[in-house]
Amino acid sequence: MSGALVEARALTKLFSVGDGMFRKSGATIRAVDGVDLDIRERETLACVGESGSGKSTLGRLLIRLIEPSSGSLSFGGNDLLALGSRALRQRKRDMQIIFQDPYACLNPRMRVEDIIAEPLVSHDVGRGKSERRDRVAALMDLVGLNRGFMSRYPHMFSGGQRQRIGIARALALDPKFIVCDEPVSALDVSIQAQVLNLLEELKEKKKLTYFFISHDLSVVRHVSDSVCVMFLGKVMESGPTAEVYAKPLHPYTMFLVSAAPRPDPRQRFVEKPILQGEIPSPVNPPSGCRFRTRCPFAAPLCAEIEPPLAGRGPDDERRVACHFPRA
Amino acid sequence: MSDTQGDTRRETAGLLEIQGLKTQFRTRRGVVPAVDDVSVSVGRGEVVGIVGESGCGKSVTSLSLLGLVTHPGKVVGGSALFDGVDLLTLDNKGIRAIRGRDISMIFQEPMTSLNPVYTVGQQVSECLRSHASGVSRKAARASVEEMFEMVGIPEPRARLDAWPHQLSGGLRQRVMIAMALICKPKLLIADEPTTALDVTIEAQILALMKDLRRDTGTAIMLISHNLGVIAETCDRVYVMYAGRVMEEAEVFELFDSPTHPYTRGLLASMPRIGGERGPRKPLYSIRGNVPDMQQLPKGCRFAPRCDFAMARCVESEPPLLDASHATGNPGGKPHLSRCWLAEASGAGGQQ
Amino acid sequence: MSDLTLGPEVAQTLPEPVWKEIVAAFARNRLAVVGLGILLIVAFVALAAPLLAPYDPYKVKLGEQFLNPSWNHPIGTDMFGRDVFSRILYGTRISLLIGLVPTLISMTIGVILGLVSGYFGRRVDFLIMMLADMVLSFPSLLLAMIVMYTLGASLLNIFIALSAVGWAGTARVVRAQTLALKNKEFIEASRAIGTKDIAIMLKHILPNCLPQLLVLFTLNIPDSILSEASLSFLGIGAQPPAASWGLMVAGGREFLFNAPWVAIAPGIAILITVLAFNFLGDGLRDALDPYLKS
Repeated sequence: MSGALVEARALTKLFSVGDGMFRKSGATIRAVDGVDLDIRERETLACVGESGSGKSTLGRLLIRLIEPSSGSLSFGGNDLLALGSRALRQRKRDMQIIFQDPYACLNPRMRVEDIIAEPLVSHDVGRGKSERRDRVAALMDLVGLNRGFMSRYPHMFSGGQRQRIGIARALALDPKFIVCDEPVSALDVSIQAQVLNLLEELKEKKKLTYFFISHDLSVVRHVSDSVCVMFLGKVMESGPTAEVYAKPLHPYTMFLVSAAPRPDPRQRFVEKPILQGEIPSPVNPPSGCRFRTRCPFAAPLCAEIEPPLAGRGPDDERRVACHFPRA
Repeated sequence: MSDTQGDTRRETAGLLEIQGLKTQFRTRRGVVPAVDDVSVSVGRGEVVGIVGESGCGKSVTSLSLLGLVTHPGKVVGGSALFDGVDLLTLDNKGIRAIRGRDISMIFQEPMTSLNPVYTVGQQVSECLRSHASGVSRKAARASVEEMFEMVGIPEPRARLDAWPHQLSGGLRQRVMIAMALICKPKLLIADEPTTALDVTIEAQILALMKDLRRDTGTAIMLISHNLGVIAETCDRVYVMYAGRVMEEAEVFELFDSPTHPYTRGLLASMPRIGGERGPRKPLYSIRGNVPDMQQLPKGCRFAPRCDFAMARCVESEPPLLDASHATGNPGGKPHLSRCWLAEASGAGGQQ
Repeated sequence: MSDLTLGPEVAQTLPEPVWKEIVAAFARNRLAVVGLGILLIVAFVALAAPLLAPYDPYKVKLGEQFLNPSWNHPIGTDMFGRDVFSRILYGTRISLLIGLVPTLISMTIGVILGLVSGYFGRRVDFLIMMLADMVLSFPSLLLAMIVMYTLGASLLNIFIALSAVGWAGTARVVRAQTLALKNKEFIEASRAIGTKDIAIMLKHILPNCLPQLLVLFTLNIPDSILSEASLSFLGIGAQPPAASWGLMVAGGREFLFNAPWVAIAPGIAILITVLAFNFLGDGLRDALDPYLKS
């Protein structure tokens, strides 16, 4: 045990394309491929990557919302994969998820009160309707929603408010660990800041640990203590956020950080390296290093041997999967 | 075409002059003034950005120009002079002749903008042939191939026969750009062209747009919610909020010394990549929500969310005021701000 | 925190309740309103048949056979001297009963199987959908006839026969809807909370299928009514002397030339009722359209 709250080892999830009794399952996609991960208590670990990187799948695996194909996973020192369905249901009180789409994540036919109370009902917390209603009201206060709107339906709320409802639901059972799956990417800039601040505040108040999934480099920079960069199901680089951004070791990280547009017109005079090519198909990833087809520094070795995620620096705090790391 | 007006205009007059554009949507619950008295100008070869949050009217502005606003929306006022012709007075046939030839558009979602039952080569050459009569199939195919090469599509000849679903999002957006540029338009309207794309692909497309602008001299109207995209590509920027232009300035000036509290709030609420280290500070956040477009406040539309709101702001809405004196750059390029603070000289400029 | 506790102003104008919009959309469709009106009348007639009918529909009066329509007998009498008008009024009872009961039964079965099939997928889905495909690829009237021949003709058996045929369509619709909903984030959220599968199906998926089910329900009823009429016409449905419209058409068909009203009047009754249900169903579908897409 390394003192981490969440510990994943060689976590892998395969999806088969075409699945049925008579249809032969053809290709398999290794959506998450042998990921090692430690999330320390009360830390925010961000996971950044482009489409097809497997970051959302990884988030769902960590709270066992979907079953891993192989690998091991522990939560607070207990083997999460060994739990039976009853024990797992109990465990799930400690782990929650906040979703990207504030429209799809709330049942349109339920009132806000019932949406936020659903976890309480499912786990039989609180006696009777009035006690649950008090809890719901307190949760609404906590996330900055007017408790007078308890009996309204989701469509009466704006995107940012809906996201608050989703956050209140996730907090209902006092979890320790929350997977935030692109929680602000569907929101307008001015609302995004409100929700980011709220998440930060809740983290302090409720002593939460976050796994924060995002494609937005600036959001990740702002919220996270450490970061892992994923590409086609593999972690390419991980480490303390400030250091990774300041001195990326993996070429992919370097391109990602420089590609993000910044609200500074003078950036146009800065010669930026631009990553060429497209993201390879996850059905048929390149041999060796998966990034090599887009990598301007690729050597013959990269096509033959897949670089392992190796520790660097003091305490192996930074890790990189590259034969020729930068700097 | 109205090029007969003479080359003297080329330097001074704009390519597109939108004056007082008003577009409304009639719903059963009332009228939504989606675009309310908006004036935007685009010079020849200029890249103009329109930035704002969802529902601010930035997309409806561009759709209004091209007669693409559909029921229950309607353009109810204003003019849009394009090369001396008022686009808003043209009939369907007239606007169709301009659309795709003199003004073309690219949208956010490159998949739905392409017809899945034709190859991308067919679609782009169809676009060319419908606007330039007398171009043979073969000649069209050759120019499409050339255009594909220009927008950076690898193996352009082979890609002519590709179906839309065979291409990645980034390549589809390149095809859309090729289609938009095939008739050598004077103005390209790009509505959130990179929003659906991954970060590294977004950087490629933005670089491509900059190259094209340099090589072809096409003016671009770039509509985006992303201040970063705007900052890196535009010459001049309009900031829209609740159907109105709130601030208008040259790009360096806007980002160096924004005067409108809304613009300042937006910039302050963005998390920065190169942000400072040390203890994490909360982001500045604009409080509240975007106003209900059916019940707009009487005074300034931003007043209910504004940290600097005064009694006057609730009473009457400010016009677009000259803010150049407030930014220490009087007499420079126009810098307008719809805020009473811009009038109270100097005070608005300092952060 | 200051900006958070401010309590975001929920859209100042409250949108009208959803049902108000649906009613308004429905009311704009004239045919649908007409259909609803007709059905209300039919339902009233079914309930009040004993009060409205001028004669006993079963009373045989020899010597009064094939009377022409007149003030005494608005649609004349049939081959046994029974008043056709009274029999048609009573016929609404059987038709509505046949319309409602088997449809309810078959849809309940269909909903359960569709939910299970769509939610659990894999083998269960495969088996249920195979069964549904088999039922759907068999001519439904033939299937109903087989059931009726095996079980014998009676009202209860008609229910069974029509339910056995009708569930498959519902199951497919519910399955498709379940598949579409299953991967929605609010379902995922519910699973993340640890809600049990059965609760997810009943609390989240089923309510989101209701608009579809309502439309399906109004469109399935006329099918049942027609099937009963066909079965009765063929002599394996309702048995004489029951006042069933299908049976009445069958009985009157020999006398089509000298006493056409005996067969045509119940035929028109079937036509009007079925049309009314179809108008209603189409109207509901149009009014609910925004809610049918999930």
